[in-house]
This record gives sequence, structure tokens and C-alpha cells, in this order.
Amino acid sequence: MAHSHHIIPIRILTVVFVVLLALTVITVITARIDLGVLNVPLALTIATSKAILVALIFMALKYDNKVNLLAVALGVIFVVVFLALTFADTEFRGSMGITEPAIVEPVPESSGYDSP
Amino acid sequence: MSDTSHNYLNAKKGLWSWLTTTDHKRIGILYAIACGAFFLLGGILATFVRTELGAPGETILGQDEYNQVFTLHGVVMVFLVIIPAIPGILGNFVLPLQVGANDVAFPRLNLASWYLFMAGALMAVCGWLFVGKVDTGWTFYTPYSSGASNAVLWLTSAVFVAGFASIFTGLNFIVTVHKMRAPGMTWNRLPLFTWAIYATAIVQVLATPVIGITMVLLFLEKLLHIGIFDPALGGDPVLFQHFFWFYSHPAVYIMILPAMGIISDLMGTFSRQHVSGYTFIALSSVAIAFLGFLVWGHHMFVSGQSALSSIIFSMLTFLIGIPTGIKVFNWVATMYKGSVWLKTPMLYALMFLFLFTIGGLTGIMVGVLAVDVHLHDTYFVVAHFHYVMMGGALIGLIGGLHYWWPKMTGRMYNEKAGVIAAILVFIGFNLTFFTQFFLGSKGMPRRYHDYSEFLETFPEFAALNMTSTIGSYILGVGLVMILIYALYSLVRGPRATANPWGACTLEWTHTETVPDEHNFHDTPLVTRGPYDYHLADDVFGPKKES
Ligand code: HEM
Ligand SMILES: [Cu+2]
Repeated sequence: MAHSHHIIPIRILTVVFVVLLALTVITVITARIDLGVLNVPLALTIATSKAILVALIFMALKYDNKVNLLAVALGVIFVVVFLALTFADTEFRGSMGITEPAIVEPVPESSGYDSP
Repeated sequence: MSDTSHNYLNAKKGLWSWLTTTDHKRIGILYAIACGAFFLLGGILATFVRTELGAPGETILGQDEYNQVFTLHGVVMVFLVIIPAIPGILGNFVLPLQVGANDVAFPRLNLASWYLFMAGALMAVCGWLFVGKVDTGWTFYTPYSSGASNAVLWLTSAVFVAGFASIFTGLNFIVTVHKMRAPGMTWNRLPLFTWAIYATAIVQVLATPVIGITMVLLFLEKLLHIGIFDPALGGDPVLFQHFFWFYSHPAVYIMILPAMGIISDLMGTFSRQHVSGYTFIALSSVAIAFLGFLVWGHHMFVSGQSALSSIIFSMLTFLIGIPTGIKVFNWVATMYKGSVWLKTPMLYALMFLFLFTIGGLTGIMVGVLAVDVHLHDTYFVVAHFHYVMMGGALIGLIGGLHYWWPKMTGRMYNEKAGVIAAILVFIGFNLTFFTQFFLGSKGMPRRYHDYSEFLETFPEFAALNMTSTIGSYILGVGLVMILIYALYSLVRGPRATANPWGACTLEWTHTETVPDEHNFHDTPLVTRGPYDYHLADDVFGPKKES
């Protein structure tokens, strides 16, 4: 099979490299400013943009067979699913239903069970 | 098996030629031998468990031994039998033939998968013999597994290594289906077995790395004391269950989807009809593969996970019933007005339909939040998952092995023996596991070696457990009988013809009785669907009566 590899122009590679460097500088700068609740979302947004650039341009997913893009996307989607549903547990424990220990009634002798 | 014709079995000779083969058919046979041996081991362990529970009080195993035996039974059956068996044996043997390819996409990787699988198995067994016995159950829940014993690390490493075999196999099948189909073999002409193995492969590739990561985290915690699951170190034990079930629920679909694929092919061939709802069956496999990733929390309703996530997981669990129901209805519809031929493989297909439906419906029952609070960790759950794993996945495998046996070995087995064994298996299975629904709904807990304490309140526990144990012996007799007539058939069985069932997929219509090393003499050109029985009989050969 004649595989034609797309050759990415050096100009684009350089631009992406510079953008990545710039984003790294921004990461360092924003890490020194306290933005309160926005700290984490901002850092993650920058990191995600960098990852997307690397995947699309350096790893050439943008030019490659789209099945490869699908494979990567599926991986990412399932990580998101895993984190989202796990956080639905860890972030909401005790936020619904009984949070106080229940008052336990003594069990009648006749039931055959021991009282707790 | 001395045969005058040239085929994959006699193409090369000697043990070495088998251990270094890259022929997908021979690798399938290697898996068959390995999984068969592990099934025997797991089965013997199960007999110990059932014998201990046959009568109240301590009978043959002490409580620690009991815990060790059911743990090894679970680990062997899940990781060394049900997960690898169908893709490893029948996926390898049949899938390339069904798509008209001369091998899988990466034949060497395929052999490497088998060696990884064997390495994992060897680690599990050696760990058991020389390091120590694990008693955590196959689920390795923390804090049991984060306790003192290093044996857990051995066993979890074994699972890690065997997991890679599963990933490589999945990868191989995905690429094979995408890249190696014969001309004319369009996606809507793929046999449903191949569709099912394809959907399974997606799950294998996406889910299995997570069990690997989980085992690595367990390792890091034990060796480096990083707090991940252990509250004493600042970890969260319930997090382990999230990790574990994020793999292991999809893994139940790694077990059942291939079996569903076998059943679809059997239903078509032995009803001599186009499989009803072909597209729906094919796509419901894919739907199950994806939905299967969204429901893992139904194993954790009483773990202390948040009420919010329990509600979400319970609702998502109900959704799985839809694609599953689609399949069951279509299988029944395939038989409707068909010419149903009750040969041994079809008996197993019908058995699957019956047993899997019970397993699936009880799955919906335990998926109901309030009901599960009562049933969790009782024998009801044990009955549920044996109906799906044994009644579903394993019965499907046995049916598939009978169906493809003539292709794999060139011999027929004794049909009468096949029918008798099938009846024994059916009776034994239901006696063993249906009783456990009663036991569980009355509250008999799982993983206890003795129930004499409960007898005062529930005297019927004794009779029910005894029935279950007797059933398991009948089941065992049925299974041993299959082994015996299979071995007998290898030596003395009458020679098979190229297409004894009059099936119309490529492995039957376009290969020799026992396929040649290279599968097809010429690349097949596919001009019709996999179940086009409405075309004239002379295309596929008339249905044979015997
Ligand atoms: C309709 C589909 C299914 C549904 C809705 C379902 C639902 C459930 C639920 C809610 C539980 C947890 C019960 C508890 O621990 O209290 C469970 C346990 C289990 N299910 Fe299923 N299930 C389904 C199909 C399957 C299939 C196809 C398999 C395997 C081939 C399977 C294997 C298991 C296993 C192994 C367990 C118990 C694991 C353990 O705790 O050791 N299930 N199922
Ligand atoms: Cu599950």
C-alpha cells in the first residue's frame, strides 16, 4: 500500500512550538496570581490547549486518517466519563438522604435476630 | 489426526512447530488447550466450595481455606477462562475465516498474546504455590487487599500481565476487521459472530488498561505507602471499587458479547433463516459495548457511595436492558417459521436463550436501588452472575465449540452423547443455581463457609444448599462427559464433511473440511450476505439429515 505521509511545513511546526512555549510562560505567570476558584480551571484550560495542539499538529492527527482521531477521542471521552461519574460520588457523599445516624429501635425477641 | 489431505493441522509437525506458530487457527487451538485446563482447575475448586456448603457446619474446608478456594475459583474462572476463552479460541480460529482473510492483521502479536496470557497464568499459579494464598475474593477489594500479604501483589500482577494479552488480542481483531476483509465483504455482510467479537475488541482495548492501572496503584500503595485506597494513609477505599468496576463491568460484556455472537450464528444456521433484525443485532452489540461503560456503580450501592451517584447508576443500568432485549427478541424471531434443527449446538443456543434471559432479568432486579440493598452480597447475586457467566457466556462457548468442532478437527462427535450431556448440563445447572435465588432472597450471605447459625430462623437453608450441591455434581458429570466424547472424537470420530450444518458463512462454504494453512486457495469474492438461506440450497449444499 502506498502510504502518502503528509509532510507538515516547518513554518507551522515552528509557530506551534512558539505558541507552546508562550503557553508555558503563561502557565508560570498565572500560577503566581491567585484567582481564587478560577485557579484550577484556568490551569487546566491552558494545559488542555497545549495537549490538543500537540495531538493535532505534532502527532499529525489533524492530517491523518480520521479513524485515528476517533480512537484518541474515545480514549479521552472515557476518561471524562470515569472522572465525571466518580466525582458524582466523591463530591456528593452525604449530600442526600440520611446524614445523621439513624435511631435504632431494639428488635423484638421473637424475630430471631439479635438486637444490634 | 493423520489425514491424507494437506491442512493446518499436519502442515508442520512437532511440539515446537505449535509453540512457534503464527497461524491464527493453531493459536486458537493453543488457547483451547490452556483455557480447557484452567476450566478444569476452576471446576474442581468449585466442587470443593459446593461440597463445603452441601451440609451445615464445617465439612471439608476450614474458614480460611474456604476463602482461599473461592478466591482462586473466581480468579481462574474470570481471568483465565471466561474473559480469554471465546476471543482466544473461537475469535482466533473463526474470525479471519469469516472475513475471508488469510490470518489476523498481526500474527506475531497474536502469538505474543498467548505467551503473555500463559505468563499471567503461570504467575497466578506460582504465586499461589510459593508466595501465599489470597483470600480477598476475585474483586480484590481494599482494605482486604491492602493488608499484609504480598501474595495479593503476585496475583494482581498476574492479572495485569494477562490483561495485556487481552488488549493485544482486541487490537488485532479491530485491525483485522477494518483492513483484511475480502473483496465484497462489506460491513453489512459481516457474520454476527464477527460483529460481536469486533464490539468486544473495542471494550478490551478501552477498558482493560484501567484494571492494569488499578493493579499498579495497589502496588504503589503497598510498596511506597502512597495513600490511594487506604484511609490510614489518606486514601479512599471506595475509590478502589470505582477503579475496579470501571473495568470489571465492561469486562462482563467482554464475556457475554462474544457468546451472543455465537448464538446469533447458531440461530441463523440451525433455523435455516436469515437472522432477524441483522442490523439491530449488530449495532446493539456496539450499543452494549458503550453503555457498559456507564453503569459500574451498580456494584457499589451499599459501599457508601453518594446517593446521587447510586441514583444515576441505577437509571443507567436499566438502559442496558434495551439492546439486550433487542437481541433476545430477534433470536426468538429468527426461529419463527424457520426450519429449526435441534442438533447439539442448537440445544446450547436454546439453553443460552433460557438461562441468559433469567440472568439478564435478575440483573435488572439487582439494578433497582432499593431491592439491591437487600440482595447485595447474598446468594441472589451469586445466582444472577452464574446465570449470565455460566448460563450465558460458557454455554455459548460450548455451543460454539460443538458447531465449529468439525472445522477445527475434521471429525464429528457422537450426537447422542452430545444431547445427553446437554440435558445433564441443563438440569444440573438449574438445580445448582436456581436454588440460590431462593437462598439469596431469604438473606443467605455469599462468601460464608458455614450457615448453621441461620438454620434456626431458616431451616430450609439446609435442603436448598444440599439441592444446589447435588445439582453441581450433575453439572460436573455433564461437563466431564463432554470432555470425554470430545477426546474420543479426536481419535475415533467419523470424518466430517466440509459443511456438515449447511451453513452459509465463508468458513464453511469456502474452505476445505479442515482448512489449509493459508485458509483459502483463492481470495474469496463475497457476493451475498452471511445468512442468505433464501438463495437456492445448491449454493450452500442441502441440509444434511443424520
Ligand atoms: C441485563 C444485564 C445486566 C444487569 C442489569 C446486571 C446488573 C447487575 C448488578 C446491579 C449487580 C450488582 C449486584 C450486587 O452486587 O448487589 C450485578 C452483579 C454481577 N453481574 Fe450483572 N448484570 C447484567 C448482566 C451481567 C452479565 C452479562 C454478566 C457476565 C457475563 C454479569 C456479571 C455479574 C457479576 C460477575 C456480578 C457480581 C460481581 C461480584 O460482586 O462478585 N452481569 N449485575
Ligand atoms: Cu455490573
